[in-house]
Amino acid sequence: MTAILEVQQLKTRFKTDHGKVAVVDGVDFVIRQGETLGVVGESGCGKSMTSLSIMRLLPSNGSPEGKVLFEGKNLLELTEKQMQKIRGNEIAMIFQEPMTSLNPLHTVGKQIEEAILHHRKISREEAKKRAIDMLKAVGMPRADEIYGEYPHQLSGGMRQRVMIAMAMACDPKLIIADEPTTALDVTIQAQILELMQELKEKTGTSIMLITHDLGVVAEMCDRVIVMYAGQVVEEADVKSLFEDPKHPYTIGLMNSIPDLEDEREYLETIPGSVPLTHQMPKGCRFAPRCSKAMPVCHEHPPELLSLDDHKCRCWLYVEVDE
Amino acid sequence: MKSLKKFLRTGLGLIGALIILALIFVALFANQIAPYDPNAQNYDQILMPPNAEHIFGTDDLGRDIFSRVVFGSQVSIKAALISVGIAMIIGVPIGLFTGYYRGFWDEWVVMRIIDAMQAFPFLILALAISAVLGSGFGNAMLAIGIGFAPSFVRITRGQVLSLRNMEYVNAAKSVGVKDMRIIFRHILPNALGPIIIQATLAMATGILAEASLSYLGLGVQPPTASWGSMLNQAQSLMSVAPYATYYPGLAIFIVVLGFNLLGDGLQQFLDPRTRK
Repeated sequence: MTAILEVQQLKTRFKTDHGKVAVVDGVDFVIRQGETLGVVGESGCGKSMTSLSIMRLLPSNGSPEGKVLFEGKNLLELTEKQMQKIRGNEIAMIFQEPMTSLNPLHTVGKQIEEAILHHRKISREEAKKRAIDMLKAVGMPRADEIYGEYPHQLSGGMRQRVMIAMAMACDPKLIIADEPTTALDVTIQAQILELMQELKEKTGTSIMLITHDLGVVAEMCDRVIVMYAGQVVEEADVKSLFEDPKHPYTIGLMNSIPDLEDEREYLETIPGSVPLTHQMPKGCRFAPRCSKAMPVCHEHPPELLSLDDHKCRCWLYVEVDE
Repeated sequence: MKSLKKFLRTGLGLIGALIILALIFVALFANQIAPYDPNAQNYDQILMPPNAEHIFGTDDLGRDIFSRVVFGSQVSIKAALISVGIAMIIGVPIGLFTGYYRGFWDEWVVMRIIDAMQAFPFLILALAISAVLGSGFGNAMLAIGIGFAPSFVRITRGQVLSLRNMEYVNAAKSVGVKDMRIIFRHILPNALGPIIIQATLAMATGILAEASLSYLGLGVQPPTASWGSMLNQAQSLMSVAPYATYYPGLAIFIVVLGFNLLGDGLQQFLDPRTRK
């Protein structure tokens, strides 16, 4: 399988009152054609900023460095105009909040059409037909009527379907879904995930799925990267990640999932929270919260190591010669 | 037509619209409605209280107050529309672009100029501008318009600042929509409600500001009738002929109320949640 997106040493910095801080710090990963890559991590560890860097939709005080190669082109070097041709057409995005991702003043049909008319040279009628087809494709009943309805007339799940229809309207090669199901209730979550899976199989697009829900990862993804404090700490295919998690952070994340069969009295948690970007620890960024931390962890930052089918950023897997 | 019906259903907005329509009607057909020439002086009938011949009475020069109120509507409606029109043409685009693009021009140039302009009382600013431009109705309108512009910049910019971070703006960007289209199709319509409210309020203030400038000799030149100048002239006659202040005052009150009700109605109408 060929790589569709290659992110190399992506470093996104923000100008803040504390000077320039890097919220994404040297991230590398690859998404291959037709593959679903899961990006997992706590709130504030740089998942969303990574995706916004790829799309070049960062707030104005943020600037990305490194390389984002999409089909060989470095997106970070394109002009805004060239980028607008890529957004929606080649890479599309699904946002977290279906309640606010649609403009309340336009009908949903018009908003789907907008994407189509912008990228395809087709007439309004054809665009309308395509929009209705898309609504049907995302499993909307009464697609013809929904076309003329306003977002406030739809439920959260239906709005998220509309967002997916919008994202898929121009057959993008990559869809970045930023916590697409977080704001939905559980039964709707399952439906939306199923729909995404179905559409992916039909169209062969790649998906970058950002989530903090390991259950979603297990269900949807082929490969996973685990992010912590702006860095990739572990990368593996989904099976080996769940069977044999390496990084203490990943292990901690897995232990904090409730399990029906388990009779634990307390749910395990990872103590503390992600360090602030301007107060990063000197050594390993996870060391202050890690139960297995060794002296070296607090002194030197570990490299991302390749261990057979895993990549892992941890001193536990380094033979240290003292 | 369908949306017109929906608008009419908003109730208070309908009353406002009727008042404004009545105003427009009176202004258009002033010649037919007014029984006398508004500027004709009749020294036999000075300071007559309201009677059968002069239903609103006459002023100190024997002019028929009803006719002057009727003709004054022309000046007032022009003052309201032109001054606010100028203010919006200047203010709204500046607010849209500075709010959307932010940065140096927004923060250090445009907003500081606006701070400086708003540091002066509105009327002083308008006075200063019309002193530079010279007297006359057109220049007075320009002066009032420029004086109003900062409040439109501020209110538009404030709206844009919050709207530019809405997820649907990001969502539109993520499907490749261009900045201009985002500004005019996604942001402006959502920002319109407060701008329209501001416009209706400003129209009311515009009528008053025109009257003030006219009184000071910088606006409408006598003997042309405008409500504000009539009020100002009648002020010195308060003890002899209080009725001379009633009618222009009442006219201003009703029209200002009409603009405000219209603004409320429009706001309700523009919100799709209440449109259904």
